[in-house]
Amino acid sequence: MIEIVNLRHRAGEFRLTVDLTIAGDEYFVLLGKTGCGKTLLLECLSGLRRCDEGTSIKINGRDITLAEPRERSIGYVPQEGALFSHLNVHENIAFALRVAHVSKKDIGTQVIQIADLLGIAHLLNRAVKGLSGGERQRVALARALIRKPSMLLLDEPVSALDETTRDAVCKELLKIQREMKIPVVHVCHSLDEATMLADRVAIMRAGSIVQTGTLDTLFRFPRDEYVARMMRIDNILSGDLSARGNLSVNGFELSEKPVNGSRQFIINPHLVRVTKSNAPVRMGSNVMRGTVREMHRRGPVTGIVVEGPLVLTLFARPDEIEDMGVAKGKELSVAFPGQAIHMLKEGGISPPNPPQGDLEGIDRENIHRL
Amino acid sequence: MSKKAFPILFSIPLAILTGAIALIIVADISYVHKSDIVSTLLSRDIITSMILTLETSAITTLISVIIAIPSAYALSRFKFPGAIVLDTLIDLLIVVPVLVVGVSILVFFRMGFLLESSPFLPAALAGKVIQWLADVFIYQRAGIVLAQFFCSVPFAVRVIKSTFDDMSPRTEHVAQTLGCSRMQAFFRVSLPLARQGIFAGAVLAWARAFGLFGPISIVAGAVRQKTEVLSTSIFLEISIGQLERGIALSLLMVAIASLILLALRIGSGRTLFGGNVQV
Repeated sequence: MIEIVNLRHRAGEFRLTVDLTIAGDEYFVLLGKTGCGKTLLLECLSGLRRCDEGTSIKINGRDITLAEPRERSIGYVPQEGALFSHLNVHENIAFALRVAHVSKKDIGTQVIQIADLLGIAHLLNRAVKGLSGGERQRVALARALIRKPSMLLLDEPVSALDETTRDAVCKELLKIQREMKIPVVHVCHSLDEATMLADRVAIMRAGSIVQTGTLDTLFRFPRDEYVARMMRIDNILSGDLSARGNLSVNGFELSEKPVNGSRQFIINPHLVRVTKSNAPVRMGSNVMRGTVREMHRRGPVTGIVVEGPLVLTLFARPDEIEDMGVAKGKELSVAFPGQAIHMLKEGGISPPNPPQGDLEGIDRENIHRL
Repeated sequence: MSKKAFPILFSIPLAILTGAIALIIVADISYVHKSDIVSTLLSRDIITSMILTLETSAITTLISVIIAIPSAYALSRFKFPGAIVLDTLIDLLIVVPVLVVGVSILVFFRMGFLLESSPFLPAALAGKVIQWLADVFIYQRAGIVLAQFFCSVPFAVRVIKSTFDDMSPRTEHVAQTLGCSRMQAFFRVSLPLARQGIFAGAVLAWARAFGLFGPISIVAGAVRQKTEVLSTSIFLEISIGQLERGIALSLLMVAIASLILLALRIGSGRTLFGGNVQV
């Protein structure tokens, strides 16, 4: 288990503030936009940056807050692998064992074992220079795993790969994590990656974790607009108060009342359905009549944008579309239950920290002040 | 524009430049007789001078690289107050005429003489140390290396620093997570990765040391069989009217420099054809 308590770090004007617990066998994904401090957090966990006083980082009960990177028992894979180009694949993978003065015989055995696990045994004698993106990441992963680390930190390990290779590497990452039963902290800005891998996700914004939970939780109950947008939820709306105190948008009264003074909410697109009813629109309930404005494929389903008093996106399978006779420009009724509405906390977009356009520059400065 | 026009257009200035250099060398060759070259090469003074030149430039290159690597790394990686001043100081050695370097070294050693008579004990002690150093360097062979070092090391620092600048610190970070201390990460990862830049820096430092004249004659003098290097020999020969011998010596330097530079380039893995793109 990884316990991060009161982690504080300053990089120039940027402040990182994190409290987090990750289970011992959890695949944990840190999701956030570029410059939100994800890499900074990984560097703090790996010991490449010293955290401010009061920070506590523990792996399986062992306090590593002040430990040097080499004493932390972590595997670290940065973006594009950062392979050592003066060494071949075998030497790259064996690097940690050589540093630890492991015998040549044991090095050979362990390198072959890990290379077999990752399907790169045929590359062992190759130079790093000619490897493909996927091969590079597998080698970097093998190099990080050969020491059998207590935690694996992955910094956008597949973001530079094409989709097919990315999916293949993601599958392997998950397989290895399940086999080795170690916690993985995987940083990315792609929801697709998180969907493929994550047991749990943390959404980061401007140096802080905004919300943590399973993907399902985050999708159904995003804390604020930022989380909702990171989860690519389509129906983010703002309403007024109706005479009965319910939420109302353009005169369309919803069945829910605002919570904590917030009038921003989402309507879960997966719970919105096209109704067969030709009954007139029942204003004041969650049934709305509107016109189909757009239809676009999203994998196995089609996103349908219906414009009425609200502009709502819903998803339907091809057979449902055919059954309902849904087509662009056609009028239809859509309905959604009250539980599809989830209130958002307001003020979830503007970051408290300054933008991190120059974080790379700050990075280097702070790392070398350790 | 035809497919061949682009490489041809860019090759013309290269051809003019290298042609001009070749013409100068050809002019030198046509000026001297074979007998001048042979007699010059067989002269005991010149053989001593040649050996001294090769020895001192090699020692200077070694010292320059040993000092330049950590200096360049520190300037590239560490952020500290005054870094920009240190960077400028190193560049200063490239910008100022080399004669100024020689004169400044002499002036520094003269300071020892002045400080020695100071009533303030630490200053007097410092004066004694500087005086002792002056005895080691002034008009001595060590002085040749000292003058060469000050003129060569900034080139090595500049080239090696740009290599470290271009190198992502990520590789070192990974090495640290794989069990290395920062020192081990430097020696096991950064240093081997920077080898081409270090090599280029060393070649530049050597070239500068090999051809240096002004500051050497100021700091070490031009004593035959003692502190005379090839560049000094050329000056001495020409100053006594032996133009043919001077030019023969120049050709000797050109030949040695060409051989060493070619050998180093081929040794570093570059082919005789150079370049990355087939024309």
